[in-house]
Amino acid sequence: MDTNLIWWSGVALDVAILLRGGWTGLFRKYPLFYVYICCVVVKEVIGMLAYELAPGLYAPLYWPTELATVLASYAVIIEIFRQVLKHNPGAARLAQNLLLLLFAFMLVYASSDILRAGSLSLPRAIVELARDLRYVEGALLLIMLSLFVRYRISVSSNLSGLVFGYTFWVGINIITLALWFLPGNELSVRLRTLLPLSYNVALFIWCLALWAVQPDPVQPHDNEVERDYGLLAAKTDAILARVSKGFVRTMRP
Amino acid sequence: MIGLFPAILLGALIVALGFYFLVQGLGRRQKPAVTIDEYSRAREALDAVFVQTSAIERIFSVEDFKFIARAGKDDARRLFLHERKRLALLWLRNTQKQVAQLMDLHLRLANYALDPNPGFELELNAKYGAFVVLSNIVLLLLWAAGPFKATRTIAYTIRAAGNFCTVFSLRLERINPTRLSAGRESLVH
Repeated sequence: MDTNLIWWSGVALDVAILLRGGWTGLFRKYPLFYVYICCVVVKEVIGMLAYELAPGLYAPLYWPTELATVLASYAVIIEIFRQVLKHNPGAARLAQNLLLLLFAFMLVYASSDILRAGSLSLPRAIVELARDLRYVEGALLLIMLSLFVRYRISVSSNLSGLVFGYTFWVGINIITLALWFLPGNELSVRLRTLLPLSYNVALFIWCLALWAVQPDPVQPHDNEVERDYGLLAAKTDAILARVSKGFVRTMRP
Repeated sequence: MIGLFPAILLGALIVALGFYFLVQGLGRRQKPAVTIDEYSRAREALDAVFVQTSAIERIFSVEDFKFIARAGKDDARRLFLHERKRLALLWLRNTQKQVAQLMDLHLRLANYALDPNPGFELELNAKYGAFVVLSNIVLLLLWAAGPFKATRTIAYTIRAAGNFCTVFSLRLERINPTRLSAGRESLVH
């Protein structure tokens, strides 16, 4: 009963987000995010149909569809990256280099992990791959968030809600998956409930954040900022040089 | 792939940073945007700190302490030490605050630049981190040993912290001087 309630409320929230996205025009603004939501709806519908009509198919279908949605969720990472750093070419360049480096490193690490576990059954290998991909996603998200916070990047309420909902979902997902892989927890009912419940919370956050279109913060013209960045850097240099000299001179015995 | 503890830490950090990003964004909408005035005020405040350099030098002057010590009054010496320590701590905290304010403005504006040097930005952040750590060490030394006993150690530590500003010179070399001649009142928004 409770599981069905969580399931149906999740689908209802998914559909509400999609409908509001189409109504407000946010679908066109954040297409990759809405494509991800569409993928989740399709996965949920397939899962429900299998559960009701062919229960024997549900278990073999669960992890492959989960893996597909984990892969689709990378589209949200790309969407966040694109949208948040749209007006911040400097931070975008920094983030791009760092993320590519981290992605390559994590992918190699995850691949070696999978190769090491070559003797595993296919379902188990898929489960581990889904978990590893989620960890890679988490690491990418952490780097991105650190840069957003460090560089005080301003975004619209829509986008900050989207980012917060996504970070909440990925963060809880990583914790749950880590606990799930502990020996003895594989069949934990609480963990099975926690995952869709946390996803519903994320959906609720997205529903609230994307209910209506919020204005983007006004961004300066790139060329003007480039000039001002130069001015700023020059002044910062002069001041800090003076601070440093003053510091040393003052403290010298 | 990774252990339980790192995975839980990663998940918790992601949620916490996501929440912080949300709160930071909401807070920023209420605050006025960065202006050149704001930057100038920070610069003037820093200037003011170093206009008083001669007075600050007196805080750490051993001559004054020797003079008071020669007078032989314990109460006067204690009061003198207390006052000098308080002044030294106040000055250092004020300087830390001003540098942090300057760095904050720099970061808020630097992400709009078209062609920043990632190496420069990373180095700057690292050097600023070193400055924060070392200035806090100095603060601790001042608090524990007073402005006269710890000066040699403090000078050594501070000299290392002074290195962080050299990275700005590298950024300066890439600036077109013709762009520097024109400035605007409002930088962002």
